[in-house]
Amino acid sequence: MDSSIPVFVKIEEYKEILDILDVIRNKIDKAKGTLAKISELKDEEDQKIESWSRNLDEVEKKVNFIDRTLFEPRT
Amino acid sequence: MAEDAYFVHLKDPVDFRRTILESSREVIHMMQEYQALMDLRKRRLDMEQAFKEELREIMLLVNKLEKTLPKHSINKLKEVLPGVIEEEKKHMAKPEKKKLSKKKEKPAKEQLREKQLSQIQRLEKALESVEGKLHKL
Repeated sequence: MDSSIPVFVKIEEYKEILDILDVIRNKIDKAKGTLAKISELKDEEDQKIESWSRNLDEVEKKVNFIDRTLFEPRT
Repeated sequence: MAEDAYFVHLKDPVDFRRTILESSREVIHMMQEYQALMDLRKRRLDMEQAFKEELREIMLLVNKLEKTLPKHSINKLKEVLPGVIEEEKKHMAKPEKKKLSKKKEKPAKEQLREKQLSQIQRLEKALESVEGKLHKL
């Protein structure tokens, strides 16, 4: 549409539009908060998985030690 | 005891036993972590569900906003902006034709297909509609 053509909005509709915009803004803020929490939880999950990986490496080392001790006896 | 039985000398049996116990402890820790991870995952899924609901509400509000904004009468716009209306007609002509021909071919099947549209497909359709509107601006 040509931007030079003026378009007018009825005042009662204008107020309603402002109200809707206000609600939308609030909802967006709330959604941002929820998204931040999701991101935090995801980071925690990633940390837990990394911790698993480290623990598993530790167990592997210990099992290797047990294996060496049992199957590579020194004379 | 069998005659061919043999024994392995453990140089440091205490250390050996400690290693076994520590391995066992690590595995138990990991199992505990698993429970914690499941709890975290459940909380995240709940949050994602809440987020989806919030997005749906925002979408409804944006649609409401669009409906609240003034509509233009085509006839009045024709008087003011004849060139723009002609251009719009050209854009609208093709998709309308396609929709009509499909409906004529298989109306019942089309209706059934509409019902079976997944959430993703419906969103894609809504996106196409918005893109179309944006294109016409």
